[in-house]
Amino acid sequence: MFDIDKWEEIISSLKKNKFRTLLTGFGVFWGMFMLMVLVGAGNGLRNGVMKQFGDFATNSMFVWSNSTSMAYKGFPRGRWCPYEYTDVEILKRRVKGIKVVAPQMGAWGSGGSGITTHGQFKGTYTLQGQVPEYYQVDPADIVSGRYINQMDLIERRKVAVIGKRVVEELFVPGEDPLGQYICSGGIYFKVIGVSSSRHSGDWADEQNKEISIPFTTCQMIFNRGNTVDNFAIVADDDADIDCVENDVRRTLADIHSFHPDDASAMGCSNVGKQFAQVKGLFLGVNILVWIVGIGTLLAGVIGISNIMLIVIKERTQEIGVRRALGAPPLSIIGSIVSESVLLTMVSGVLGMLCGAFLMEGVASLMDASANEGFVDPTVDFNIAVASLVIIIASGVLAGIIPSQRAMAIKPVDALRDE
Amino acid sequence: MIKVENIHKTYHMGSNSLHVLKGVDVDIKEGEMVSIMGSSGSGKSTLLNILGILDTYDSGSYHLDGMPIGPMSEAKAARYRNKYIGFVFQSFNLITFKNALENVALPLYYQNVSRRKRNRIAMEYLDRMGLADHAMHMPNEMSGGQKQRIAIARALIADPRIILADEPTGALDTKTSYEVMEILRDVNRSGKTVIIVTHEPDIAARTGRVIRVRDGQIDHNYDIHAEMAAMVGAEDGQQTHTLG
Repeated sequence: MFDIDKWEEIISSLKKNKFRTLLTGFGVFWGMFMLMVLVGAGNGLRNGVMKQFGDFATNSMFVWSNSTSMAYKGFPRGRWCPYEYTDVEILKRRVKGIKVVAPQMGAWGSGGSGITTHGQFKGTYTLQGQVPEYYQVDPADIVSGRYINQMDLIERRKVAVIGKRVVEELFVPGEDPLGQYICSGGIYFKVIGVSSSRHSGDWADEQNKEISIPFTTCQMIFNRGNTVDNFAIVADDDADIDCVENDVRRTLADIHSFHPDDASAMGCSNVGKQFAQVKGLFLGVNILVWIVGIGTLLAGVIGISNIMLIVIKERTQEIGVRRALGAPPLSIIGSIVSESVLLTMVSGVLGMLCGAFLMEGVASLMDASANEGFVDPTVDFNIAVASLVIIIASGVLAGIIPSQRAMAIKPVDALRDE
Repeated sequence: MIKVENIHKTYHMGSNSLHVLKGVDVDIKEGEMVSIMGSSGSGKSTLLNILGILDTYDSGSYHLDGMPIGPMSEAKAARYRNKYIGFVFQSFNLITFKNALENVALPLYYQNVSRRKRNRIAMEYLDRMGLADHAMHMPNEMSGGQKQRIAIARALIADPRIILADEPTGALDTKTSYEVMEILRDVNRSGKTVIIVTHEPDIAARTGRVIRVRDGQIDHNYDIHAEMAAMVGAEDGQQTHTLG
């Protein structure tokens, strides 16, 4: 395989037509470059969207109560029956595949003015009653202090975990918010923790302006009895989220006496389904990227194959001489295929490296601004290796057809060709 | 060494077919120096190509050193050519991007002889041709006579039994032609069978035997001396080299 003479010959043959070699190689170079850039860009887009999701439990949903649209069990339609805190245990017991049920309550419409003050500072923030389990639905980093715990819930403590934007707006820089009191709707809460969102973009901004208080405290303060605004439900990783949604609907229908087929009695935002759609979208993007990328690469490879045909046409007589001198067919096929593989490989690898380096460069420039919808647009090592295999295979392919053509010429015809 | 019996060859070009060889018999003994003469289109080149296993024939038989040469794989044909036959061409057919030494060494390359060894042998053959100082020259830096001597060295390097020369002097002036012929006669004297295709009687006259091909058949009544005598200026002393 490694034969100095053969490679010397190939290199001298490539050098003889520098410009042509350059143009031919450029086809494959560009194909590979585009493939890398497209794959990288696709990855960047996906990573960007995935980062917005943060560590949000993807196999999850939010359900809330709505007015019914069907009369059922003697109740008229248009009835609104709020879900209750006790539903949590029933749901966990009856619905298979449920991992977490976290009841939530927003305080804004329940007497909380939304305006929160600390000393001379004030701001408008979302006040949410949460249970400790919510941390398994949409975890945020706890920068300092702690998250709400079970004791807070049982004792209905007036404590709050506040987002980092809240800290920035209500406290002077350098001031430690832990242990201090903030006032919302005339009620004072002790700050026990500061959270920082794991999402990116608008979602992160919103989450960083949230104030979480214990769910039971929220119920008591805002006089909400045993009711719940919504449930955040996380299913097991291998559970079918559609099934879980159906079972939840049936169970809640049973508890609150609405018709199990009444679609409007239970509002549901199925994160799992939406996430699957997003994943499907990126699968589509990926397929498109590969079709376009491979197509461009193929165009380059066909260019190489064409040039090899011309090379053989030009070298017909030389090939004839070689055959007269006793060159075995394999040696001639080998030298043509090697030339094509060398050309494809050098330009393909160059294209791959340029593409990969460009995307790495873009990635490192973007690190500073993490809130873009485009994150880490780089190419996996696996993909690069796969592309290398594609390059070599296409080089062989580009050489085989022309070399077959060369072998089809009879030595005497090849010699006569002037 | 070469025994050809009743060989026929027809070329098909579209709807036309051309019956080039119409039952040719040739018998060449080992160590002979033979020329094949004939006008353009007589079939002499076709005959040479068949002898050189560069072309196939339709019917008849061909034995080279006792081996039947019939339809065979290209790999086998290549091996036979490499081992038994050395070619010399009218247009030299040196590989333009290789220097003299590399050109001469090429047949040994196809025998997988190591680079160092084949370059050493090639150097010996170049030296025999008096071209040792031109070893690193490229073909386009040499004269026609030098190129043909390189080609002869290349034909000899694999130590073949037969040298086939297709119009070896066709592209050379008279003086160089005679020099090349002298080299080929030396080659013959060293024991190799030499077959030369030519249409020049004075070249043919420098070989031991002349086979005349006319219209695809051997003309057994051909007499080189009669032709030479008929030629103007044929008595300039060249006749002394022909066979009596």
